[in-house]
Amino acid sequence: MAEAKQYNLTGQDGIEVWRNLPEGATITLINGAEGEVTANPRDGNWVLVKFASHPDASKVGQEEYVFFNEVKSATG
Amino acid sequence: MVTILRARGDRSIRSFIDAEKGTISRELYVNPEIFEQEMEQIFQRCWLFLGHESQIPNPGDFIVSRMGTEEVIVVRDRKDHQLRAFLNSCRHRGMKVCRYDQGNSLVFTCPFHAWTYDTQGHLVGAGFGNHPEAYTDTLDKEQWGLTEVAQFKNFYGSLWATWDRKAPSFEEYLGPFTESLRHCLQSSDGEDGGLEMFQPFQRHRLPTNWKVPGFTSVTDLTHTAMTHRSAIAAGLHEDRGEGKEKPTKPFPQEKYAIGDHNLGHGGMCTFYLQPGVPEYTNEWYEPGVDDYFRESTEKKAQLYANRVLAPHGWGGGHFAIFPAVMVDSWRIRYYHPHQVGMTERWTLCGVDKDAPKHVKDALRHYAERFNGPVGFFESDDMENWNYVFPASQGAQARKNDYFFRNGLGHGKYDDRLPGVVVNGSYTEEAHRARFSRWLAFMEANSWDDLYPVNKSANHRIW
Repeated sequence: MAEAKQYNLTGQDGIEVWRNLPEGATITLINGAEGEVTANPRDGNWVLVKFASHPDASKVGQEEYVFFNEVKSATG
Repeated sequence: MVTILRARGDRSIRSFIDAEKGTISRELYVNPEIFEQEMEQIFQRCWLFLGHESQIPNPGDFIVSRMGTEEVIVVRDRKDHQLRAFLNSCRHRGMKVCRYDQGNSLVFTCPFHAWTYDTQGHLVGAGFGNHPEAYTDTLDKEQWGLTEVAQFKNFYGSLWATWDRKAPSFEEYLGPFTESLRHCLQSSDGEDGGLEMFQPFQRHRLPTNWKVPGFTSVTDLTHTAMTHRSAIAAGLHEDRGEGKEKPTKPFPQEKYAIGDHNLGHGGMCTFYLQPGVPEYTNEWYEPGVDDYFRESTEKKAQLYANRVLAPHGWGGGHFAIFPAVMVDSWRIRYYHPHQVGMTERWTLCGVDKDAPKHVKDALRHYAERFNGPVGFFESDDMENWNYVFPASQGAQARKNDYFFRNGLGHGKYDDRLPGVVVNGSYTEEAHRARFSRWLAFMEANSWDDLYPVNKSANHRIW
């Protein structure tokens, strides 16, 4: 089984990588939440994420827009 | 409401119009304080045209339109597919949240602090929104969505809105012109809402007051012989083809200039005197276009076999919807005020949405030849409109009132369009009606003072 791709979100290239992050990618937030990207407006700022886990349990299964500086890592 | 003109003493708005003499002060066109009052008294209250649904067919599609001097985002929501309109101004610091004319988007993100709104106008995020040392519990997202228009209407594909919750329904606002607008939005075979608009549409700025083209360029038949003399002499007014054919039998009709002084709408008008539609006559250069329109006219004739056409539309002439929209059978033209002496003019040209490509191409080429700064006909008009403003602005020029007396005292009410004054085709009845309504708006405290919310109001001043 192929290893999940790790997206490099740092530096100037990271802005473009974030802007084009595909639907289906998994992101982990600084607060430990994890979820799947369900939509990307491709504005370089936000992605819509459906949370699989979250420190606030009420957000699990919910969709929320995530700002780029809240993200720790992205794989997919 | 009273305008204070410090250099010339206090004057009421009403004193600028002499209904007995049939004159209007140039101050109404050149005074910045009056312009500011118009934005509050008229453009905050009236139903205003935003665009056409064919411009935003898919979920997430948006256009940026205008309401008076302000931008609004008209967007089709991704979830419920409904159309909505929002002020293009972030609730945080007022930055534009959309800087494109049109497109497709999931969200509208303010480039200042990243306050972000979905296609229903809800605030869905803000930069540092989840940071423990940022907004914490001080930002209730539900309270800080984009400012939505008070009322929105999709009228057979044309999109309208008002900022005023007290405004009457759109149909009440149109009054006896409701059927005329509906008819202008039909395809050539008579199908309701059967048009789409060419994109991109024409837009350009005019260095003049919005009322110069907005109030007086409809039903201004006395200007054509002079203003468009060269175009007419060159045969360009028949530029669709080798000169329009004459019908084999006349279709009984009467033509007038009309104005509804209570509603402000009016323009050219054709009363058709029998059911059915006028015979189609060839008028296009391009092969196959006449065949298409002849066939669709025959279909429409079946629909109207027992119905009398509305008094506008194909061949019926154009009319104005107060304050600044001009409608006819192939165009919606509207005037956005920017400043007292700067107006942005938009022209949407329609075509049957189910027409074949060669018909759409022919209509688009004709629209491009006719309209706008490089159109052979409207460039004539712009030369007049653009010079009217500077030539009326000076201290001496302002002392000379405009003449609006053409046909004054000769208008009559007509049962075929209740409440509408009917006058000779070459009169300025429609122009005077717009100023009756203009004055009513400028003096009114709210819609409670205005027809049709106030059913007993009579705004006719001349």
